[in-house]
Amino acid sequence: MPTHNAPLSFQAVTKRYGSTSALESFSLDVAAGEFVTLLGPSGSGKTTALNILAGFTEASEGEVYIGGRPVGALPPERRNVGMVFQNFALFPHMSVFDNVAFPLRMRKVPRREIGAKVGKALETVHLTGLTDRKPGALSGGQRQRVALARAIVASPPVLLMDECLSALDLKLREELRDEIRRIHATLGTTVVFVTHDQSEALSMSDRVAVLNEGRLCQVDRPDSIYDRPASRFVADFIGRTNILPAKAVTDSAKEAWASIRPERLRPEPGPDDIHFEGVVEERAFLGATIEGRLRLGGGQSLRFALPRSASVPCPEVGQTAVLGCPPGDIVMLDE
Amino acid sequence: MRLSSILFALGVLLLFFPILIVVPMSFSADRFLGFPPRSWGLTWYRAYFGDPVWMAATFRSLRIALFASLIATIAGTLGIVGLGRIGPRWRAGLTGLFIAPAIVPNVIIALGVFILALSFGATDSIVTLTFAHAALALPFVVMIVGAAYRQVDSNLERAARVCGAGPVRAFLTATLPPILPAVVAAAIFAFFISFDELVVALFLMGGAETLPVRIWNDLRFEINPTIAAISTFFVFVTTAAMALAELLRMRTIRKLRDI
Repeated sequence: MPTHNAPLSFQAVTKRYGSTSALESFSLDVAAGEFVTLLGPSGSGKTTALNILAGFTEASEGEVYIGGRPVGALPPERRNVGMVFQNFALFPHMSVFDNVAFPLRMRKVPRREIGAKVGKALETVHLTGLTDRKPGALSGGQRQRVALARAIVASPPVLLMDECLSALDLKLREELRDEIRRIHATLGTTVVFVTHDQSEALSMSDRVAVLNEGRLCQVDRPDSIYDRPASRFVADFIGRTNILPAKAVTDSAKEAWASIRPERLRPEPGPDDIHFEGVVEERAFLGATIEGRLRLGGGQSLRFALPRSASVPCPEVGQTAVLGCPPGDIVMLDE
Repeated sequence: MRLSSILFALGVLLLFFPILIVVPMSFSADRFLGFPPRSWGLTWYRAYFGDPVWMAATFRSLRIALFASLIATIAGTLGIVGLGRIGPRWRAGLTGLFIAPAIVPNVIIALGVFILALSFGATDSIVTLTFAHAALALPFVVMIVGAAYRQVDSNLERAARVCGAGPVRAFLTATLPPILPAVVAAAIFAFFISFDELVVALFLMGGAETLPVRIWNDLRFEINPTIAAISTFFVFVTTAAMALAELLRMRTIRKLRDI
């Protein structure tokens, strides 16, 4: 399969249903060959954005571009994208071969080329020898591989994935996660991946776009999103964190928060670190780490995850402890 | 035997009682309808199949039922697809409208169709009756096909579209095949709704009798065992067809659930 891909772009896309808006002035540029994940809780607008990109839903305002061309007026069949659906959406009455061959037949690919292309696509997803089976006779993982093969067989420049791992159990999910990464690396296709699962988003993507209530909160590399969340919502939604009320130095009247990741706190802080003193409220031994809560003087509680170390004993429940972290590890948030 | 089993047996007996009486009567060689028959023979089957008036009525009914079933099945299936694509408020209202002919008493429908046909000068017409029967059969198509359609993953059609199929092609390749057995089942049900229908036909058809009208008119003047023979013949035909329809319907639902 030849490597080809296309950039795509949302420009101020809004989708309203009556008076509520599912997506509000959403803009995002995805480079050719990039793997971008739309991450958010249900109702955040991520699926709406994908449906607008695929052509299932019409945007109320704004335009979507694929390969530099506006596609808002094109029906789904003319956008030349591949898509993998949450519940596979394989045609139940067709064999594996016919399912995968379907996009080729729709594109009027000559019959003699179809066999080879289908074989290649099934090989890419590591599924061979089941071509005559009906989807009903396959396991969940095999079905998702067939769905992947069907999405890539016609070499579309853009591949869309809608919660496509959430119907699988944990082990398969992790297996297919690596598989999708590998396929992306092989084909070089532009991928837009939609999920509510932050670990999928962080582990697979070049960039993550976090959405909430129809708005784009932040787009950045996974590590930057984790280390430098731009808002309270992002800090809270990605990973675990402590949100403490704070005061902005520039404007003390303004409300602000400080976000501190539990694993950044450490016992026996140095003189330049920010110190937190409190009583250990609960404590759990998790092998590599010890996690728990510290009740601070102000009444807030602070979650910590300390690496287990023989030299520094972890305080017991009920004891007073001082934890700390460098000022740089605290992220100040004003929204 | 437990009381519940006895009640069940009684219930089944009650339902089958007419058939248990009619079948022996149809093989009678007596001149008048009576039970039990005093002599046996195929006289009345010969009388039915040999009588051009009975045969004409039978073929008229078959023709009307065939077209009524075709109209109801196509309209009902397309209706279900359409209902899946509109807002929930419209859907509820239109579903009610589609189901209405099954709720409104047939006499009222017959009267309504008759008055409407009068104003168009379309009474005594096979075409009018065919469409009236299609309307009566529509609720059954909507219910049977609707149940299967709701089991079909709505992403299937989207998947077909993304793969490059236009809307009609996507419907034909993605949505129709999984529900096809249910559509055939609905067509069979619709066929017999029309084939059995008496009231609307009585109102609309003056000269040309359908089979139920013919039976009705025959009963009014004399009671002879031809009717028992016809009934027996169609009990078996209907049972076979309905069993097939039910089998298809169950199979669709089960298959769609598996995927």
